Amino acid sequence: MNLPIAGAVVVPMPREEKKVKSLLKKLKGVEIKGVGSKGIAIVLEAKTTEDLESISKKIEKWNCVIDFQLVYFNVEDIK
Amino acid sequence: MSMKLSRREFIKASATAIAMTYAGLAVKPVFAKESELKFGRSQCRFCGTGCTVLVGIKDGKVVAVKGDADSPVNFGRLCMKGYKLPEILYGGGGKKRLTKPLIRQEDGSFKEVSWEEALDLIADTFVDNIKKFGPDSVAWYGSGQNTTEEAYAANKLFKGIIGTANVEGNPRLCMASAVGGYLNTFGTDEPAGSYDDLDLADCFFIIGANMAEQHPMLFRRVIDRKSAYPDRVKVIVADPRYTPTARYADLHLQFKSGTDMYLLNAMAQVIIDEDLVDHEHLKYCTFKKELGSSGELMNLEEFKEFLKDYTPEKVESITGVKAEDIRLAASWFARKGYSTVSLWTMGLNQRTKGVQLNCQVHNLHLITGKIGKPGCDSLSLTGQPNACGGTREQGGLTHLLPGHRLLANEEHRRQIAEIWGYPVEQLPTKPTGPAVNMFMRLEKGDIKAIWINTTNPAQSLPNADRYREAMRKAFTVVSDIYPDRTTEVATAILPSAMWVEKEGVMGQTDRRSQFIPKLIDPPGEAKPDFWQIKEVAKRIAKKLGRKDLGFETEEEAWNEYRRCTKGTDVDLWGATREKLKAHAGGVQWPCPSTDFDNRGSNKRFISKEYAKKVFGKTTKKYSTGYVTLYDQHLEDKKLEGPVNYYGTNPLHGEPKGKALIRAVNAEVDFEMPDKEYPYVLNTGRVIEHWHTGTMTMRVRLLRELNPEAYVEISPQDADRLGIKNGQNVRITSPRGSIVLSAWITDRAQPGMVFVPWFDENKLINDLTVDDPKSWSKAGEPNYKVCKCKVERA
Repeated sequence: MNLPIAGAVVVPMPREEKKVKSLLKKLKGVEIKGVGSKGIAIVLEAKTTEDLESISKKIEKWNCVIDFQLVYFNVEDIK
Repeated sequence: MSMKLSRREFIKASATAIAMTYAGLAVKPVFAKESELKFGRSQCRFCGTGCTVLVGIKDGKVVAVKGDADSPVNFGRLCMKGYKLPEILYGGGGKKRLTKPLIRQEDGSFKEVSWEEALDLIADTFVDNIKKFGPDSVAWYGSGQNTTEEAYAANKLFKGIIGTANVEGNPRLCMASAVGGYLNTFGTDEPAGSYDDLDLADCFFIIGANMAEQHPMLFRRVIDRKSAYPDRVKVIVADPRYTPTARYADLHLQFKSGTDMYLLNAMAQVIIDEDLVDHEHLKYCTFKKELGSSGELMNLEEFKEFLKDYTPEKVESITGVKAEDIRLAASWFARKGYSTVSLWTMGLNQRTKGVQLNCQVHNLHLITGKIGKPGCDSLSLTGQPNACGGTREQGGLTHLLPGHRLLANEEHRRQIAEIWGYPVEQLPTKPTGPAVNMFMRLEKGDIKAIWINTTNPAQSLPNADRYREAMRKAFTVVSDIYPDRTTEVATAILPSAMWVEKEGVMGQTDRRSQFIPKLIDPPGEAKPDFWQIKEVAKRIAKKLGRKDLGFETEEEAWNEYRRCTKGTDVDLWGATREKLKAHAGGVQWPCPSTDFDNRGSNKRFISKEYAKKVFGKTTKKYSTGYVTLYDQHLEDKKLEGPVNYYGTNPLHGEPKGKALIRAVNAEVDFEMPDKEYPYVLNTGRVIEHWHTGTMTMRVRLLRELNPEAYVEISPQDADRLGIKNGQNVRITSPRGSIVLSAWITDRAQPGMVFVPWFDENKLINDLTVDDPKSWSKAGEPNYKVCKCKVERA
């Protein structure tokens, strides 16, 4: 089975929430599920775990993001 | 294909739910407007992790559940089963709650009766049999899902008022070997450490457990730790199946089914041969041959000599694990200056050598000193929410009495008789037999009447169809929430309240007790099991001319039980109702102090002085109170030494105060494949369902995701047998046969098939082995290794 799916919380820098949301919307395989007091809840979906990790790393590197927490990670395609 | 899609949806829903919780959001699929809800704190009803949940009530119904962020167990997180808790209360999948007492008629149909009529019939029948055939003609078969108060009341009724040791429960089927392992090693049951160790561990050794699917919230803590320190932290998974847990591991030791004793001895051999031993910690241990108290004592050199036949190179051909991988696993486990936690469940416990396997894991911790320190523990995971509290601690098995006491011990009987207020002669003096033996005596007709409470043995016992017939012939009382395979064979069915429809305490894996409050009313005439037991006890006591239970409420029963534990290693005297209600995550015993802020002991076996040395402090602050980082029992009893494995159990033996490293010879399981039955049949749970599916099959999403049992077959075996994905396959063991749809997957090891046991229409336990020779030393049946053949149907 090939199900690389993850849940994550993206914490924007102060006053950068709008920008982060707009960047997230442009990423293929990323769905915004809501914005809470502790950050933006997203679900990531990709063809392979490597792709998933690559999206995660991309988000992590944005200057407008202070923290990126992967809170759920399905690993069923890892051999 | 549809299964693949639905599984994707399920995983996405899980990812969404957890991400939303972490982001500080309510989870939309199960929530009404939060402002309209009244939330109460409870504990999840499913596995033995004991996640703390906040239960949202509206108009007398449970409409929402969320994780409790204050909880030191789950920090606000829940798995998908946890989020679907509300649905288990309200029926589904063609089944409605049981709401009225029912009595089977001569034609086999069930007739609704009043509670009075049902209770009188049960009490009359039990007393008639007791008078005619003696107290051992009646029996109680309870559950790791009973509250402690229910289990305590039933134990007191059967052992105290009736005077029989016929008190067993389903924890015998899942945890007895773990108990045997702790007793043989430490002289006392249950682990030394806590879940907190998961957040500090540098190495996770997971054996015989698929945590990613069966203990997902604890596995999240493993993932968190690994994610934070990806190079430092190593995850080793030893499992014949390539589970999601194994996929996550840095190293998967895929041993051939039934050969893990060789693997564990080989790891010990490497650790000793390469001198990865903690010689300082060995001062608190000694070596002993085999199990029990009579074996010869050994020294390190003799233990080294004993292990010489278990070099990785010698066991490679037996286990199928490369010698270099065994060496790597041993070196990661024993890294000096790093911490290691071991975790296991049924893969070790439900085995012919289950007790020895448990001891072998403890051995690794004792020789490396990976115990009693931050991030170190040998932690047996529990499967049920109150197997530890209601059964192991409370004494809900034939050989036990409350507070880790033994029935066969005269002094222990005297102590309990005094608290119970019965003459000591009224109590039985010897255990009768473990769970399956009890059902064998039911089949034989020695037991005439049995009360089965909160469990479904007609589906869960090994070789189950044999015992369904026995239950049908006897006078069988079943208390449950939904009709299931056991109510089908009942004489009387009592409708029970469940979860937040009643109150009670439950105890989990890491010596933790939590309180479940009554938040809503049960449906129809359903009543709490505690009330049922109390009412039957009143009637039986009156007819036998004996004093009844002596308490009316759950709180009164809890307070009496606390007295039973006072001064023992499982000291819950400090676990007042007030504290249990106030603190998310409850308390951890030993907890002798009633001080409101004291939440018990984080570590066992270590002194205050030693705790300060290894932790740099002696207490840990939670948002709602303090937990001590040392063993309050050890301090209270003024036991000597910075580390004191204080066991007094006869299985442990001398010398007191030291843990025993057991030199156990490796053997395979009782029923291994042969020419006629060339495959190993392995059974277990799946992520979507819990146990016999009585609750999870009521939840639409879970039911749709995994509607029926299947058989996992390796691609190699499928190819050889000409089996295609989804094709019907017949699995046959010496006890029976079943047709299941094939799932060809690399999860299964060649030579082994795996079948889940949640499906009441496809009863895989009709095939599992029940021969007493297949049980562990602790009387636990073997659900993991029995022989079978596999054919296209």
